[in-house]
Amino acid sequence: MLPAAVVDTARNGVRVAIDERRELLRHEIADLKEQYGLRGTWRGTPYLQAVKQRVASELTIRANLAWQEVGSRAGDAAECAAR
Amino acid sequence: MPLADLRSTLIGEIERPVRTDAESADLAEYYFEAKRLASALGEPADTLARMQQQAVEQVAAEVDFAILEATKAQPAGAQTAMFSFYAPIGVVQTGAGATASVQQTLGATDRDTILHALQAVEQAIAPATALAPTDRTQITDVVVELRDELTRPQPNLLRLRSGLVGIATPIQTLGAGAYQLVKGALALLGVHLP
Repeated sequence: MLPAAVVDTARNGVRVAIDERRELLRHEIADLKEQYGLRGTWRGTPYLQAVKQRVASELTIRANLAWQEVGSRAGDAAECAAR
Repeated sequence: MPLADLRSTLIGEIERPVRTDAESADLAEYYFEAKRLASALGEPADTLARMQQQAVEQVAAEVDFAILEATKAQPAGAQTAMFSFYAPIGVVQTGAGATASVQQTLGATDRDTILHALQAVEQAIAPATALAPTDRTQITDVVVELRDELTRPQPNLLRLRSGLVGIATPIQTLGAGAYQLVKGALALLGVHLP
């Protein structure tokens, strides 16, 4: 296991990053609704497909952010331990 | 730390924030709302779970690769390895004589995410009075170049990374969401900005 302090720090960093992403996505979904609403297809498959694409991309971004955060914190801890 | 434990810990920490019944519940909310509105009865029930699994698997491949790189520098049969992660440039190095590695593939969704970020940058810089005309021109040039790069069958990821990092700095102070989108796009390319 990684040291608890490292995991806690990483989780806090991930939480902050996800909070930012959540807020950003809220605006993006609102934009999508407006965009598809204007076309009259908000209640249809094209909107669902657009949301699915955005959700899939967002999941990948969040997983990558978590990897970068956890990886960098674990790396910092390993460097400190090696000194 | 035993390698199997390290992998399991790292994957666990990556899975946690993408759980759509916890930290990423907002994603489930948007998906199910769109599904309900579309009355998409034929939509498989496990669609969201599969997208979640796919995201984790993609990153897990990078974790595995990092562990593989680390163990290459270790004596045969070693069950532990020393890791150093240099997040700002998205590279994992494992000690003397080690090689550096970065993500080498770009999927269709990744391309769309980057294109979306570039579009947001264009929209953000157009009305930005705080931006010098020279900066605006240069950013526009880079946006055009990156868009062209994305049309190639195999985009040059090094060019994409450096271009996006170059754009990120001047737009950071514009106060728009464009920086966050560029930051997200860079995360896909293994670059983590603050």
